[in-house]
Amino acid sequence: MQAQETVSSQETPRKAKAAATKTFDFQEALEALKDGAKKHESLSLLERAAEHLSPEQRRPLVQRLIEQEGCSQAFAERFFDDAKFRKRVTESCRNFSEHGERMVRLEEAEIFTELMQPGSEDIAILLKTTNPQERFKQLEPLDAEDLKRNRLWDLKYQLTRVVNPREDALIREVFKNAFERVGVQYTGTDADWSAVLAKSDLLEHFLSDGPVREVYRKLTNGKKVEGLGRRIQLTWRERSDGRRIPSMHVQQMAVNPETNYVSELGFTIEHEPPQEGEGGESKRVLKDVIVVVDKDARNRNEGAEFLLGNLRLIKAYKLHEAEFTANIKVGSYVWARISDVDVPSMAEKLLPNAKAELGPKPWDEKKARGLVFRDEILPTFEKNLVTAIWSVIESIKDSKEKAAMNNVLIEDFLNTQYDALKRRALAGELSMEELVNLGKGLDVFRFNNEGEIVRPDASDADHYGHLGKAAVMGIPWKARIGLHTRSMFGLVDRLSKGTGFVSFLKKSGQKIGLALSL
Amino acid sequence: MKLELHPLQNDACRFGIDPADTRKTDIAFYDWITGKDPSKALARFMVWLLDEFKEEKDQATIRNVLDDWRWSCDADEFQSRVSVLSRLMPDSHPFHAVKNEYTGKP
Repeated sequence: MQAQETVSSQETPRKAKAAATKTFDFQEALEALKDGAKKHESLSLLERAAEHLSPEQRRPLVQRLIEQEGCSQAFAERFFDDAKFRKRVTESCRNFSEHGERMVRLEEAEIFTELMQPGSEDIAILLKTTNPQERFKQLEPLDAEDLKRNRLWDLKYQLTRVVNPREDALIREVFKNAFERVGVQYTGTDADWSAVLAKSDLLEHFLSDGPVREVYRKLTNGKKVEGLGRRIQLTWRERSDGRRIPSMHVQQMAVNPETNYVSELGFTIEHEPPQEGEGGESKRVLKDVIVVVDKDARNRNEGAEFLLGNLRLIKAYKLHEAEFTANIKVGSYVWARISDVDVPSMAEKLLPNAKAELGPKPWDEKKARGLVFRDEILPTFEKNLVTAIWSVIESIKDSKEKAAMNNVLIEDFLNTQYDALKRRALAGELSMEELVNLGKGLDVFRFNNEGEIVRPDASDADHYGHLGKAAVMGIPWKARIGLHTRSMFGLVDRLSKGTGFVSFLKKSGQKIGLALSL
Repeated sequence: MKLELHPLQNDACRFGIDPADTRKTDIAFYDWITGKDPSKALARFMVWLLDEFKEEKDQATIRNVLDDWRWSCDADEFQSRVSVLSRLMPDSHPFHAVKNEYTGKP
C-alpha cells in the first residue's frame, strides 16, 4: 500500500501515472497474471511504468519484490534498473505463468534463460514430458492443500531422523528462522508446527522459504516424498568459492488413488563452471536424479521406459552430463552397470578431515577416488556384506555344510577376494562395477519377490543374487554419464550386454525403418 | 526358509527396495536392467538412438563410436553393427566415408 501511495503522489505524465498506479498494486497485477486474458497486459504495464520511477519510489518496490514476491535483492534491483533485462524477463515470464503466481517466477525465468541458453526447449514441454501422469494414466494429481500439510509433517518427521548433531542444530536454526519469518513465536515445541499448520497462508510462506526448501530437499533425498505434486525451484546457488550459479530443481509427483502410492521424478539441472585449477568448458549437468514409479506402472515395465524416455529428454535439453545419485529407489547396482563413481562430485562432499588429507585442488584423482571409497562407499558396503554373509551361514542347519559355507564366504570371499578389492579401492584403482561383481557366479543365495535373501533351492527363489549386489544396496553413491552420442551408445551397450546390440534388437522384434527389417 | 539381509535393522537395505514401498515392487526394474526388457523399452531406446545418429555429422564422434565397438565387440558383432548403420544412414552421412577405415573397403 505504501508503494501505491508513493507512486500516486508523484508528479508524472498522466499516462505513466495512470499506468503506475494500476501496476503497483502487485496483488491485483498478480491476480491478473493468473488470468490468461489479462496476463500480458499486466506485465507490459509493469514493464512500462518501472522506468518512470525515481530511486526513492523504487526502494519500497524493490523491498516488496524481495519480501513478498520471493525475488533476490540482485534481481529486484536489476529489474528496475535495466530496461532490457526487464523486457526480457517479462517476456520469459509468460512461459512460467501457469506454474506459479508470484513475481519470483520472473527471476526464475531469468535463471532458466541463463541456465539453459538459446535452443533449449520450452519449460512447458519439460514439465509435460517429465510428468509421471503423462505416462502412467492411472495416476492423478495430488491435492494441493493436503500435500502442503503432508509436506510439513514430513519435514517434522524427517528432523527426528537426523543423527548428526551438527546437522540437527543447523536444520533447527533454519526452522527457527523460518517460523519467526512467518510470524510464529519460536518455542522449539510442537506448538510451532501446529501454529503454521493452522493457517493456510502461513503454511504456504513457511514451505516456500528458501532455506526450508533446501532442507526439505536434503532430508527427503532418496526417501519417499509426500509434498506438492509439482515443484520447480529456480535459484541461484552460492558455491563454496563464492560464485553464483543458476540451478533448477524439478520435482513432479502423482498419486495412484487406488494404492495411495506416490510416483516421483526429481532432478536438478545446474550450469557447472569448470573445476578450479582445471581447463575446459563449463557444463550443463542433470544431477541428483530420483525416479520412483508406482507398482502398477512398474509391473508393466513402464518405469524403465520412463527412465529411458527421460534420458532422451535430457539430450534434447542440450545437457552435457547426467549425474545419478544411486539410491535405494532405483538401485545402486543398476548404476554400477552403467557408469563408474563420479569422484569429483563425491569428493566435494567429503568430511573436513578427509578433505584436508586430499589437499588443495587440483586433486590427485587416485587419491580422491581412494578417499571416496574409504569414507563414502566401503563402510556401508562392509556392514551390508557381513550381514549378508552371516544371514546365509546362519540359515544352514547341517554343521558340515555350515563349516563349508563358512570357509567359502569368510575365508575365500571376505578375507581373500574382498580384502584384495579393498586394497585396490583404497589405492584409488577400483571401479564400482568391480566392487559390485564380488561373488558373482556363486549361487549361494537368491532373492525372492519380497527382496529377501532365500536359499537357491527355495520355491520362491526368483531372482539371482550375489554378495556385491546385496552389499551395495542403500549406498548413496553418485554415477555420471555423458549425454553425447558416444556415451549414449556406450550406455546401450552396457545395458544390452551379453546379447549384443544387433541380436538384442532382433530378439526384441524391433524394426528400424522400412528399408531395414532385422 | 526366508532370510533377511538386515534382520534387526535397516530394512532399507534389502535388494535396493524403497523402505516406504511395503509391497517391495522394485523387482521389475531389476528384471529390466538385467536384460529381459519385456516392454521393449531398451530396444525402443536403441532405435531412437540410431535415429539420432542420422543427425551426427562429426567424423571424430563417429570414429569414437566405432573405436568403442571395435574394442568391446567380437568381429561378428562389430560387422553386424557396421552393416546396420550402412543400411540405415542416409547416403550423404559421413559414416559412409568413415566406415571404410574400419572395413578396409574403398
